[in-house]
Amino acid sequence: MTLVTLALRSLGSRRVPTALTICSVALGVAMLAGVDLVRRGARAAFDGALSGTDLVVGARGAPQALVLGTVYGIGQPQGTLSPAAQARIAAHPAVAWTAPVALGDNVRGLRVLGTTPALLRHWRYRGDRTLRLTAGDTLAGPRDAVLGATAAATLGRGVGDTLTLAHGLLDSDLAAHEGHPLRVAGVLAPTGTPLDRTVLVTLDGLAQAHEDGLSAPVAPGTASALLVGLRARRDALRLKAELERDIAEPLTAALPGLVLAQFWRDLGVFERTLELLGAAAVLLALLGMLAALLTALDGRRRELAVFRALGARPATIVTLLLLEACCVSVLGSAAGLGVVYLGAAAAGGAVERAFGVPLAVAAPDLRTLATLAAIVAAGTLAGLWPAWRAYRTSLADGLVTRT
Amino acid sequence: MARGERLFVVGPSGCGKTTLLGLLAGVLVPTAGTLRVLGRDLAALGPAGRDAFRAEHVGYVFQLFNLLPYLTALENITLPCALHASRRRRLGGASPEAAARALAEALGIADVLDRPAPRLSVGQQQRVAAARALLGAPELLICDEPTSALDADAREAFLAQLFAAAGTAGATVVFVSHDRALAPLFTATLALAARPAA
Repeated sequence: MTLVTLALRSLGSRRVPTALTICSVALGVAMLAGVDLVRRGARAAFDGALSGTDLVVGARGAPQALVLGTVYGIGQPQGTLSPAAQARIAAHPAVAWTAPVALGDNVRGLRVLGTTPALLRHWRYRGDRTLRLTAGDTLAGPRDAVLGATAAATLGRGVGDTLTLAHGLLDSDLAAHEGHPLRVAGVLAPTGTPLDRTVLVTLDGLAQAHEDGLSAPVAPGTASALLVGLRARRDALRLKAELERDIAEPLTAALPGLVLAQFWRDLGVFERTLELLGAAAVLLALLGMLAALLTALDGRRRELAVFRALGARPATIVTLLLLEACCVSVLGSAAGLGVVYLGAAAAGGAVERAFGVPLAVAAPDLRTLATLAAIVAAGTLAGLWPAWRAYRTSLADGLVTRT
Repeated sequence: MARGERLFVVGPSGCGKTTLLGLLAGVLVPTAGTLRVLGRDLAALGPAGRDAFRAEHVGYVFQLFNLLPYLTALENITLPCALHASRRRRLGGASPEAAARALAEALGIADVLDRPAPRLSVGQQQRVAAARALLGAPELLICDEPTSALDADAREAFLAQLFAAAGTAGATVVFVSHDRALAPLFTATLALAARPAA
């Protein structure tokens, strides 16, 4: 029989308090790991909203505003891109495809995105996923609209139903383009990207809707931005520099991945807050374990006296107590991690469908392992206090247990 | 005391019997005077030295609560070997389990070795405690009123087995009790007087 076995058996004899302590450590670790998983999922969803697009080109302005406005509909579109500029970019030998994005209208608060069928073909999200229609067809004529999954549900419209656009980004009946009703041509499968809450129409359709004498006319073909796919990704920086030197029209070209990563870093406070919350949960759990171990000591004075009578050195008793704290930390951490991973495996699909946040069940990375090691080390160190108390108690009690 | 003697220590409560045992076991250190056990000055050994001394040379049987309730009888007997390497060395190569079974045979508890300690009778528990104290044949066996929870018949039978096992181990026995009737079973008696009221 080894000291480890002895520590485990002793813990086992205090089954209920031990189980509760392990549970509290597990909850703390689960909270930490869960927050981390959701954080990484949120980041993957955010970064992955638009992939496969190498450049986003728009009127001269801030790259972040351009990308966030185009991909997420955050903020107003800054300026416009003339059809001539779009054509020049599309004809560039390094460019594989382009798709315009025209923003500015809404349907009951959902943003309207004027484009061409090319966007539906080339938009990729979270790596290499393509857009898929659950019903109907892609954009064909100026009266067609394709609805994102959430948009279709919110509006309660399906293929064949009609829609009326409203001018501006705010929901208002006053500015409705009632002279140009649209027909729902197709509905997209859920993607977990902002496209879910978008109504896609053609550029021509958007222009025709504005020919109602009420709103400012839109020159046909004018867009807020242009999504550009390259033949070779490595040309992105070169083309960006080239486009921004364009003398005919002042342009800004942004690499969406870079801009989104930068934006996410700017949100670092938010991430650190989440991490702090998780750390606080672990700290609470370890304090709970400390309290449980200290409380248990009083009832274990006879046990300690027996150990001493049988020749256990104080160091042996300290080792036993540290082993107990270590076992509780290890078991708690493993249970917490297991709960999070099993939960993610079981409910990950539902969470992704509901919130668009993918929960990646992967082997714990180095960072997670380091965190777990730190938790176990902290838990074991926390055991030093009860261990020291046990040592003092055993010295004071000697072989006689006064109770 | 000579090796192999059996000393009976008797006296009323509070007369210092348990203190004497604590001193002999090296848990307590005399504040004045010197104490030599097995030819060694325990105070000079230092705390770690006394722990090693106790582990190697002393077997200890308590009045009650001798056994760890979460271990089986066998595991309780071999516990000293888990706690201190010097006790394991005394077995001279035999496995702790084998040595424990031999002692259990002598004490008549061979058939209950796999039971958890709380499922043993008081008499069986005291025999397990005695087997544990005698494992590795320590020179000194200290018993702190081990029979006070037993009835008269069981007491005699227990002592007979204890002495036989101690004799096999060649251990000197120091036995504390308040029951003077046991005195004739020992080779020597030490009567402690109650501390005079100050």
